[in-house]
Amino acid sequence: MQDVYSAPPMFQWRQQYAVNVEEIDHEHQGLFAAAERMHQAMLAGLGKQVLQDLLAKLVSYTCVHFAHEEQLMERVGYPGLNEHRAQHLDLRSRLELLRKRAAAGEVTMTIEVAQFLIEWLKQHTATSDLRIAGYVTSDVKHRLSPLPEAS
Amino acid sequence: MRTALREKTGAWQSRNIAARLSGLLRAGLRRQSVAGGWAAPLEGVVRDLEGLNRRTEQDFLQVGGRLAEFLSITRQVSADMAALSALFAGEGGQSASQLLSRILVRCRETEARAGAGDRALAAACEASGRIARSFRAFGETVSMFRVLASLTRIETARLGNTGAEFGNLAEEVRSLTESIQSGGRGILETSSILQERIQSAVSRVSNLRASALQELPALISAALAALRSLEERHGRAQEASLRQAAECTEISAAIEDLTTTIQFHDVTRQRVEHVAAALRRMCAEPQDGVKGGNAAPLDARTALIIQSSQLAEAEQIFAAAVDRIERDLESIARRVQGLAQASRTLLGFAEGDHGSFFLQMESRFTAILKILASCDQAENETDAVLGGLEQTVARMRAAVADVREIEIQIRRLAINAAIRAAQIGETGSALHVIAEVMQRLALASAGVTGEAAGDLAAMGDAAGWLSGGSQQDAESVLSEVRATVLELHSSSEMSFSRLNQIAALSQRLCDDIHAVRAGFSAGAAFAECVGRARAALAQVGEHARAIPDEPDAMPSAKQPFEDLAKHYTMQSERDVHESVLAGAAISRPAEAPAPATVSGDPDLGDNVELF
Repeated sequence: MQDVYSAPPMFQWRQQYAVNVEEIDHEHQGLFAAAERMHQAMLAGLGKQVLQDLLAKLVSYTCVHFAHEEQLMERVGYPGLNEHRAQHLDLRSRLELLRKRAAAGEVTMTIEVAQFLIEWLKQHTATSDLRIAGYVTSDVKHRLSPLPEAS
Repeated sequence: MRTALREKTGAWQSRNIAARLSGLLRAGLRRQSVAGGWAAPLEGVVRDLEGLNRRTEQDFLQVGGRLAEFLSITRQVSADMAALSALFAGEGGQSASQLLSRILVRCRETEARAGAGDRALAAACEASGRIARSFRAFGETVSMFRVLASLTRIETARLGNTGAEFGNLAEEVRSLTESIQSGGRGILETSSILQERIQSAVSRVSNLRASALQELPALISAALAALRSLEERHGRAQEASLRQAAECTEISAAIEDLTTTIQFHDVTRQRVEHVAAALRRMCAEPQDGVKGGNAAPLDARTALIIQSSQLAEAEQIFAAAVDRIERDLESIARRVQGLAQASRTLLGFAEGDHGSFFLQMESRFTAILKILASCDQAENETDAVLGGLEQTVARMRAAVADVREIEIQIRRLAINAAIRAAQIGETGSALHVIAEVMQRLALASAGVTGEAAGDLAAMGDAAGWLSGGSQQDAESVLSEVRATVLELHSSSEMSFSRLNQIAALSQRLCDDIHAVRAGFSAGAAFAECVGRARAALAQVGEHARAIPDEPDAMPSAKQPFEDLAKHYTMQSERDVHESVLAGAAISRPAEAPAPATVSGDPDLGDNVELF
């Protein structure tokens, strides 16, 4: 099926999502870019071809990114740390399950993965993470130094 | 609307209202003092009005720019909708029907193959049982040959020289007996393996049948339900997306209309410009012999009332236009919001809904692919077993052929022995008996191996048919069905992504329109500024004083006012002027005469100037 449609970005990082911590904002931009690649592939009906690679990257990405976020929250004494950490755990386990299913040859799950990404980006990155940003900006931003490398 | 208004501009006769007014001022107020205090508030009004024009111009340009963006987004949504509609009407439905046909054909083929395979394997199993029984009894035949070989050896030894013609008959019989024993043992062992293989094949085929005849109907039922649902939803979605595309077109037209409405701002802007120009000229008139004070001349009152009236009318036109713009923006925002919601419900798509139609379809696709994979696996395993069965049958057929060759040799030996025994007479009678028994035994053995050969040939044919034949077709059908399922999924994910995009774009458009609507404060600013200006004009007018009756001044001052009144085409201005000439009391103009509005062509005054 030929696709002549030129679509604008569906997942696009915006300044309003900025946590104002360079490393974390950069990682969020990476997440949006990965999701957008998936969306563009799906628009062409080729989501299956990028599915495994995307999920592998996301699993790898979350290891580093969530660790960074949790370090930041610990350092600034963010009061919602436990709740946020629980969200990370949930996202990570759901992502791992999706990756395993894809690795087992289940390729017809791109819509489910896209739903998952929408939920992640809208409810977590663009909502929960911004609460951290609000806390960091209002209180302790001036005391922050660059984050150490996450293991 | 714009065309109609342009036509009206052709008939407009009072384009030069400002020029006439300026002439009036030059002629009638030439002798008035403008250096006094009364000019200062007018200059302030002029500055205020010029600032108002600049601000409203910027506001309207900004709104116009946003409207152009909205139009672009709406057209994009419309294009998305059209693409989605084409997607629903396109290959998806056809592929779905073809998939259904293939699955049904596949099901019937599997049923037929399972029935024929059952019968063939049952026959093979029966033949294998017969062969095994025959070759288990073959041991007795071999023993008998051994006995006959021993008897031959004893009898030829007893005959001594007379038996020399029998040569090494005993040794040959013994050797052949060993060969036939070895061949028989091999056939018996292979027969056991064969039985195991057949039983295994029966088991595998039973599994396949369980998968095909139990899971496949369920698969077909699920596929039928899914495809019916898909076709129905696609049909509805196509209709809905066409409706939404039409709605998009209407929204685009509404935005274009709104953009046209925005240009009405020029009408009011020009009125304000005229008033500002007139006031500016009034202030700039050179002193011309009349010693004025701080109060404006009495005749200036008329001009100021007319200007105030112009401003009041402009304010009301502007307010009506702003009100319409706001209502139109609100209406467009509502329609776009409806579009966004309709997009989300199209095909049962709901953001964050884990039981949405798309996810249900994905789950069905996954189930279909899993069953196809299990069918594939079962068939491959059966193929492997049947391939082994063919090889085993071939080995057995070779072994049986060897045994049958030995049987022929034994029969030949027996015939020769019987002939020689007959030639030597009575002494050879015992050997004659042995040879006859041997011949009968070999004949009976040949009967057994002949039947076995026939059974093995039939088994070989059955195995060949089961492992070959339509297998390639079956693989091809499975492969095509799998490809079609994946293609349907691709179509599904494209629809999902497009709908996501349409919903997001529509929502963004709706939010932007609301933001523009919320930030559009030109109406209030205009009213406030006009209110200030009119208050200032009224105040200057109230303090105007009568000019001493100068014979050369008054006629020339009054005449232009009267001329102007005759040429007014705006009824409201004419009314004001006439009331002033009639000596009506001049007061602060709290309520302006009813102005022309921009809501419809018939209501537009002739003095509306469009650019």
